[in-house]
Amino acid sequence: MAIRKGLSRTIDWLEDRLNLTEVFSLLTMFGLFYREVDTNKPLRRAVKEALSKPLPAYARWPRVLGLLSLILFLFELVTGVLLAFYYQASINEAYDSVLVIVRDVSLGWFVRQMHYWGAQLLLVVLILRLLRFFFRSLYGPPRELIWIAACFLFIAGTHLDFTGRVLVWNNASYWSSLRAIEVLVSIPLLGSFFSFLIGGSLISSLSRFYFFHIVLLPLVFWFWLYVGFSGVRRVGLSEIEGDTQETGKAAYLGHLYQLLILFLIVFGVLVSFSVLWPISFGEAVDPYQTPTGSTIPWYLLAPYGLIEFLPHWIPLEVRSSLLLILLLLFILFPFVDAGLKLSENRRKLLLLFGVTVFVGWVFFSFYGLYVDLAGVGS
Amino acid sequence: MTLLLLVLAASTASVGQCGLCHSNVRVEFETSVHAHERMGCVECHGGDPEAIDVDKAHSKGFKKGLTRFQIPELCASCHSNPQMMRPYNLSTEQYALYQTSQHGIRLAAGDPRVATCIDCHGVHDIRRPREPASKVFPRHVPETCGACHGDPALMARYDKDITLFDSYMKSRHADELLNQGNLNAPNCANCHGVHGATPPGVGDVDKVCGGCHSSAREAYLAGPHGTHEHGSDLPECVSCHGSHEVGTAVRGQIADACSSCHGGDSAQQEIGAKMDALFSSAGVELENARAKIEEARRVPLYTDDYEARLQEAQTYLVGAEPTVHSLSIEETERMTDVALSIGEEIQAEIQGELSDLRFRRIGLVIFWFYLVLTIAIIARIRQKAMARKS
Repeated sequence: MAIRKGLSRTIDWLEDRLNLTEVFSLLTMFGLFYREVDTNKPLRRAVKEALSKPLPAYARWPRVLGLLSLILFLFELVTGVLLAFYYQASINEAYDSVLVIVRDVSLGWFVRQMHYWGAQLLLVVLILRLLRFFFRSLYGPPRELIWIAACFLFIAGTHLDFTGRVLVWNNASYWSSLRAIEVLVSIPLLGSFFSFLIGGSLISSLSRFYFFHIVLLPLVFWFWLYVGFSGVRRVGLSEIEGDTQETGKAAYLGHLYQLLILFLIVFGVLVSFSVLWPISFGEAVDPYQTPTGSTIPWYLLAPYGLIEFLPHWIPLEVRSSLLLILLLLFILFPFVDAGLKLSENRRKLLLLFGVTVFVGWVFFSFYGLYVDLAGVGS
Repeated sequence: MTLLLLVLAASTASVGQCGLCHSNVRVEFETSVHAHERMGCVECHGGDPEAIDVDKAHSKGFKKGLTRFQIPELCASCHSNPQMMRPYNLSTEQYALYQTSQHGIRLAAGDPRVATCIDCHGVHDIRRPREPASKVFPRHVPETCGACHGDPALMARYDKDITLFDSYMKSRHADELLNQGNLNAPNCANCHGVHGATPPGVGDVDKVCGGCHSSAREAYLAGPHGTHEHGSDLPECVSCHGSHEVGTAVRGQIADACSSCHGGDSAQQEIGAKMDALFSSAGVELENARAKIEEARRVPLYTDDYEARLQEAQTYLVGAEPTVHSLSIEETERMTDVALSIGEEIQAEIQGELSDLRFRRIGLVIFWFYLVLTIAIIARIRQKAMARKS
């Protein structure tokens, strides 16, 4: 009772000096609370009002994918900061500093494995999220922005993964990244912007990659997470069959506990991956010899496969322009769909089209892998 | 005017006016050490270097028609003069040595086809031996010697084997010298001598080879082959290794070498086979240790110490090679055993460290046990909290 009184007094004291509701609403922007709060009202009243409205369970499969990406991103943030304590972003020191992290620093290997597996899992979750949005038609009005945010989250995620690969600076990662850069700079407009960002089409310095990886791209990722969660708070959660709309503090507490459990499960899964399938450390970079079996990152295999699949008499610029157009169509898909004005029956055809695109993605990924390993591409 | 320019252009401090007519020779000569040391044509050829007139130039002590027989003496007129050679720190015994060589002896006997100074050093374009472009730079010695000793027509006159040059080119020595860039590897002159070139005599081979392979020679001299306890015509280095074609001594082929003289099922062949076994078991152990280190490095574990110890073991194994020449199994075993045990130690220690890593998997089971327990507790608390609030 005394604690409760003390807490209540502290809130009053702070309320006189701060707009606590505003601070609280800031926290809720990142998926911890799916109701808008009235920032003009004092905290307790605003929260009470928000809680009095019905709230579907948001920590519930498969709606959980958004929260999962947040949790994984937080894992990446924490492990990334720990890695940054020892990492040296220079081509002469990077490899040795990673060696120190995984060999000499206590639990350094664990943090690095967690960071790696967290990133891979994050990308998988982001893809699953896009698939769910598409096949459940969760991109139509008023959810266009959530779809776009999901697209950009995936794009930012791949960029984070890509820049992270370079930083490890072992032979496999170096060549994998170099090959990826070759694909990326061939895309018109975007390619030249990309090569401007990294300073050419070679990896001659790590400082830009490091800066993008630890500052710029996390901010971009954070921004799109915010857009997604903020959008959900305004338009409401997607509906799942058997949803029960609950109200009150108890329901909210229930969600928070569920979130904690989710967090622990993710932690457990990451620990298991790290221990059971640790990625090996690899050889030092040798810029003069391409190692056999080095492939570009898996998420770039499909675009690469498509470019190689198209007849080569079509100029490379045209082939890669097609990629750009496909990407734009994908991001702006909600508007394309709205423009088509399909009837209910035709909608099934659209789903079929989605399946085709997904199968195509898988096919071109394997084709890209084949071309890459067999070395038949240009 | 044009003539004046030509004269100015063609006359340099060392060549004088000779280059006006002998322009080709002048170009060659300018690259030589003699031109560099400001010697002129007259030093060897006589004549008047200032004269433009042909007759005048070829007067004044001009040595007309130098023959091959005169060359060694002509060179020696400076190169055997200690006072002249001292500033260049050059020895002056080449002429005397040359006269003891097969080349010198045959020349004195009236054979003009044998090598004289110019055949090895060049005529006008003589360079310092340490200049890479010199004909007697270590890497060029085999082809310089081979120009005559690989010539079938010339060697037929002396009943000499022309395959020696080709044999040498296939040898380990040639590979080191020509392909690996090891200028200390022996060329022809290292074994046959330079100016006093002659084949090493029977009984001298171990001294010639031992000049570089000193520990092999020491072991050889201590063993039954070297002490000649069974007679004086016993094998020397070349009996097992070959002479010009000397290859890389291969561990595991010792028994073959023994059986080539002693026969396939002799006691000697058995000694060879035992030595082969010693090398191969130590070698296998070190290869396994290397693989283990590689495995540890990929984890990664700290492997610098292991690598240093592997290096040490390898040194013992290399050190065991010369002991083979003593034909004493104990001597060889003493060295290979050290290598073997270091190899085993490395493997055992790394294996221990790798087993520690497997503990992580056991740890994972314990971790999941507590994680599931924690989740169950939280789920229970959640239930209670929700029940209380509602």
